Amino acid sequence: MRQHLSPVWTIARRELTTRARSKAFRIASAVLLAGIVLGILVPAWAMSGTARFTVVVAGGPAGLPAAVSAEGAAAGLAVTARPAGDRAAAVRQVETGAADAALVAAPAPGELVWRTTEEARLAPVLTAALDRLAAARHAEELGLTPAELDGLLAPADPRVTRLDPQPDRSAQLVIATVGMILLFVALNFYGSYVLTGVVEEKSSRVVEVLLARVRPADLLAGKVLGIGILGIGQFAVLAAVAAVTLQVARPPRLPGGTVSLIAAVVLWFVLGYGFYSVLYGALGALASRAEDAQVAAAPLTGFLMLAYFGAFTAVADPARWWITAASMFPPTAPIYMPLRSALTDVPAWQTGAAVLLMIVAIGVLVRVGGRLYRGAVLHTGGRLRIRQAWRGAV
Amino acid sequence: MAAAVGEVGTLLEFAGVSKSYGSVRALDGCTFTAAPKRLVGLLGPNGAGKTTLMRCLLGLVEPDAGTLRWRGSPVTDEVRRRFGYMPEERGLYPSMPVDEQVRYFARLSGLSRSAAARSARAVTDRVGLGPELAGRRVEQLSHGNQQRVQLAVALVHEPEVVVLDEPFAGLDPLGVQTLGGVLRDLADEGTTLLFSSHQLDLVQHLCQDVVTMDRGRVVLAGPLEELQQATRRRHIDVTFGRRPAPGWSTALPGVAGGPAAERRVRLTLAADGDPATVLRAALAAGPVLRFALEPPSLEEMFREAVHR
Repeated sequence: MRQHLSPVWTIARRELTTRARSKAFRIASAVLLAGIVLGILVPAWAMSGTARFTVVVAGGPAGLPAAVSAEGAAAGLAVTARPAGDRAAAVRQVETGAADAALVAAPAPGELVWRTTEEARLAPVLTAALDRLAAARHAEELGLTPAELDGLLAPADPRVTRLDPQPDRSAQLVIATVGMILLFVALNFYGSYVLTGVVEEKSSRVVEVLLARVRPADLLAGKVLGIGILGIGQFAVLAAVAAVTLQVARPPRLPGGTVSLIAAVVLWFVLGYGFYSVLYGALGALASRAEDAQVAAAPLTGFLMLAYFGAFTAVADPARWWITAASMFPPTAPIYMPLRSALTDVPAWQTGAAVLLMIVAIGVLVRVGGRLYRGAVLHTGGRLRIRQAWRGAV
Repeated sequence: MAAAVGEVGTLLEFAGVSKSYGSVRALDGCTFTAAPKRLVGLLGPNGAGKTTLMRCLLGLVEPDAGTLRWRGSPVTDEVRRRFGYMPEERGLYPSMPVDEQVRYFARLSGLSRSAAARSARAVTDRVGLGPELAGRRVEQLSHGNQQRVQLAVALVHEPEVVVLDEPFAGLDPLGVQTLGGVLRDLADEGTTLLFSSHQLDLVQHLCQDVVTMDRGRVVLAGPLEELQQATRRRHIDVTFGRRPAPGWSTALPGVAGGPAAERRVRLTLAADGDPATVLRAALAAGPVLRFALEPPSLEEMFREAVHR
């Protein structure tokens, strides 16, 4: 057993280390990491950074600055309000930029001073404070107590009735769409790694030296395993960085089921990669040169593309019969099943059956693909047809 | 047809090995043996089946019929772990450093990490790759040095059977000398060596045994000396002290060649010719300074064997 496993592992390690060290992989990883970190941090800063305001208040009752702050807090803004001696002092602070705005309470109806133009979020807060001041003045003229005034201004707060309550799936929709895109990109990306890896070994003729030492199946298995570990590792690092960045920037309220959804995406990545990488490897062996490889793999790439665009239809209406079928059919299951799980409640038997079918399909494919690989990998000069490769295998 | 040098239990044996690709018979009942401590040259015109034969031995091609045995047991994947192979189409990872590459192939042959490192250092030294080249990527090396890396890869796991397909192709005289020396040393250490070549003078110089193939068949196999002895064709080199009488050799039975009026002449003696008759005729034609009976060269034997 050890002697059987060890060449596979040696081959996998080489795939893993040489690719991880390659400049292309490092650059791609760095760009992805930067994209994720910035994609989370920039919107978070944009939302939290400018939500702090400083307002100077001139005139009015002594409690007015506190009332302005309270009004701001009610609108979700952090408003620091401090009194100024008179209008001139307040205006000066706005001019110098020490304050975002000045609120001059008297004479009625009051005045708002801005440096350039009104700040869209702050303006309603200050207007509301002036409204309240005016209301208090009118109430005093009418002889109302402050409690009566509060009663008068209290909001209505109506009852809400939902006739057909549905859980809010908007968050799941986002996660499912992102997950699907990631799966599609990853299957293509790592699949093409296997494809080019096989063709490179074939075109540099190193494959004959390799096959004098290890069996074709071990060579293909090691390659698929090494690139697979690299892919899952890269995915895990990106996901971990995303999680940490989110936690630091703004802890999100994850919708229920997010973790199981992520687990589903990972599971289907592993299964989908197992399926497609073996196919890519077998098709790569049919080609002799890198240019031919893309042609050899074109049917597979085209099929994945078709499945991917079809999946966007599934996002709109996941209950259609053909989407159920596609989520069980091994070649399309890796893209459709996680999507369905996110958008609808998939019966457990369907998930189980899809996984089982997939595992059986991979088992069959390893044999079929392994045979094609074996039959084709030593053949040089032009592109082989699948039938020739099948017959060439022994 | 088989050469029987060395004890039977030590031999590499091909017995009736056949392989067809569609209607093309690449190997047709190939039978011969190779013994340790002897260099075996595999000869044959292009398309004779040499590469297919080697690929069968290495397990890259499954023969349709026949058996391969080494030291009396069938050649299995397990046995092949002790074989080393250098293919005709040289293949290395172009962007992998030399030392890493040699270690990698050692690991694939089942060596432990430390044994692979040790063996890789020893073998790169042996094939004449300086330590300054160890960290260089293969694509940065000259053709000759890439060939040395290829040889190092074939030898790194200290194989007991070494098979090389056209190892001398494209090497300069210095490279030929180094490689020849390495192969000679390996043979002396007890390795069984089989290599194909089109350079017949080189094979004659290096090898003790030859196997000649033509159209998938082994047409001539055995120790070079025995084959030369066995062939009834001979050369006769005669040197006279002065010009001999013209036409002295033309009437002799079984003798061809000339021009017989030169002071130095090489005659070919067919199977039915008698050297003693020639010697008598030569002595009558003039003062003989030298009279030598030579076996045919490998090239002549080769031409005769493949009927070309």
